[in-house]
Amino acid sequence: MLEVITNLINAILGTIILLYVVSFIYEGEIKLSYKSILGIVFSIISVYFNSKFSVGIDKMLLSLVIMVITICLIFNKSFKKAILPAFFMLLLLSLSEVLTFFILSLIIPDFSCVITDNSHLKILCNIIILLMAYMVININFIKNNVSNISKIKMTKSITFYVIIIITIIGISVLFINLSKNNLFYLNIIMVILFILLATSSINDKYNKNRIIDKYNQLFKYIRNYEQILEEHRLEKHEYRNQLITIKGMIDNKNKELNSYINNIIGDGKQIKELMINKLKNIPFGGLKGLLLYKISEIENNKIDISINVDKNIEDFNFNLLTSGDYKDLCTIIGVFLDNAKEATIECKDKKIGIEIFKENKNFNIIICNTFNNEIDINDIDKKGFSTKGEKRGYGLYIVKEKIKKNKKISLRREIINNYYVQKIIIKT
Amino acid sequence: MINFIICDDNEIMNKNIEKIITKIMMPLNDDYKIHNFSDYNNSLKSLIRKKIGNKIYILDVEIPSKSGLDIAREIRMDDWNSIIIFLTAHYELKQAAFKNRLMLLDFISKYDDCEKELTENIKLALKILGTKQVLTFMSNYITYRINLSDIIYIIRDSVDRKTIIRTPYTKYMVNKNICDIKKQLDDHFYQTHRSAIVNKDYIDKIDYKKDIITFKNKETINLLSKGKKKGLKLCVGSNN
Repeated sequence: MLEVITNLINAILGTIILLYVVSFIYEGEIKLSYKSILGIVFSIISVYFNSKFSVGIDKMLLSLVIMVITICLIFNKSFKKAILPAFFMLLLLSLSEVLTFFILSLIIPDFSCVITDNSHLKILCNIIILLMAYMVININFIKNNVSNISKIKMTKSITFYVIIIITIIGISVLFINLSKNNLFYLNIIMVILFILLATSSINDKYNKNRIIDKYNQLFKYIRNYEQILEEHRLEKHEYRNQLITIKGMIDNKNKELNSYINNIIGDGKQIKELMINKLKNIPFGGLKGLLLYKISEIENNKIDISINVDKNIEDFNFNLLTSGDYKDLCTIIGVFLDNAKEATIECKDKKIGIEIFKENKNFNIIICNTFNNEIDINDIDKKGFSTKGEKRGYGLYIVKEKIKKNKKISLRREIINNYYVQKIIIKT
Repeated sequence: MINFIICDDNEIMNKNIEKIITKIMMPLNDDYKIHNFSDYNNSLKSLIRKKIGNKIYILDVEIPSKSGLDIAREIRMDDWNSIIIFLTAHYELKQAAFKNRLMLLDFISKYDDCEKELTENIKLALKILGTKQVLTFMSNYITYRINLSDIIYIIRDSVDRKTIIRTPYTKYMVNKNICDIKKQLDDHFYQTHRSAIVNKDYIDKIDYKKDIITFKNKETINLLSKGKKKGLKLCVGSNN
């Protein structure tokens, strides 16, 4: 009778610890519903039977399965998302078990013999393990970082470690007849792997944060720069207008003054507006970066590039595009700009125009360029076709494949005089 | 009826443009109307869509709520025959790719002799108006828009089964019947052969004995059929 009660207490405590830890991971409270109550009951019953009947490695695997199902039920998560938290829980328990055994064997001499003989002590130990887990999770560093587990994507290194752990468990089950002592060593291996996993994921996160910080800093810098340029531009515009007005007021008799003002106005002509300022209305993100990069590349080739961005483009919500759409869009623009660049290089009249604007609620990008080749445009999308020689011409083929799959993006091609015009239309 | 549509946020400029237009139009017999706007608004929007005969737009590049180029784009959504002239403080736009892309007549710098340039441009616009200007057709999902004044000749290549449109800058090979194209051409063009149409303005010399037509870019074609010689002589003049 005592054993049943202690086992049950053990199961309830186990479930509570699980909920406690996982609610940290998901940063959310548990909502009581039919499903979550079912999950709690399932967890208590299965943990109870698990600790009563199974031993050794089966117990570990079974508890992993139980935890995954419990998390799925209570936190309403998909199976895939529940695996990592469950795994973390398992590793946490392993860690606490190792710690408990280590401490207890220091206090009680000959501990491993005592524990095999005394089943009450064993259950007591289990409770101590759970308390230990509670203490471990409350270590500040772990508590603060544990929520990252739910955000971890299964990157290559993580998948690698998970596979190693599962393989080790699998091999142990198949080939090694585990005694209690071996189980202790297995636990240690698990802990070591856990530490490796944690460091690698922390390292990943650290690197990512560093890059994001750098990126944000750069954007902040560009934003400031743009503001300064815009102020400067407005000032210049105002100044020019004033000059024109003054010029209008002078009668033609004062030739000296007239020619002097003409000179000042003439100087103003030379100043070209910076490209970076023309892109100011495009929202921050990959597209802006891509355009800045490609445009500077085009300018380096001494091609005359003109850009016109609609003032209202800032309202366009790029979040309406999925990351896949956005990626496709960037690929297409990249290919088109590369092609435009290469087509104009061979021309006498090197000109590229980029227009970005809204039309009928659609987001439009027009890229136009002069060209020299006598092209037969029907061949353009064929794989391997290029006016630039062999082993080229995959860009437009890729674009065509992307357009086929993507329903939000469509293309239109036009030839207007000596300009080849490509229009990219993004429906919203 | 010629409609002048002016959009500039500078009122003095607006008045000046009106004066220039009146000065040009007064001696002529044509009816005309000036529509004046200081910013993009709904009535300008509906005017763009309205079919009220010939339109000449004179737009400022920088107006409060929209860029003049945005308005030009809106016009060019389905109207390629109206004439668009830009006034700008940005000198570099004169060379910009948009000028050709949007078939704009010109960018006039506000600094230089704006009045003189605008007068010349409006006169040119009046000359162009009423005539066909653009050859538009689709061939294999591509829309072609070519200024008629840029076409030197059009011939049918019977080997490749394609029609070749020759312009000073390039050669277009399209899957289009020469008869369909002919419908869109004006009286600057003359069909010299079953498979050749030439722009009279580009003809340099005609050798009637050897049936060779030489163009101003030194190219020659030998597509001149007997029945067409007389007509060609008549419209080109006998000094060739």
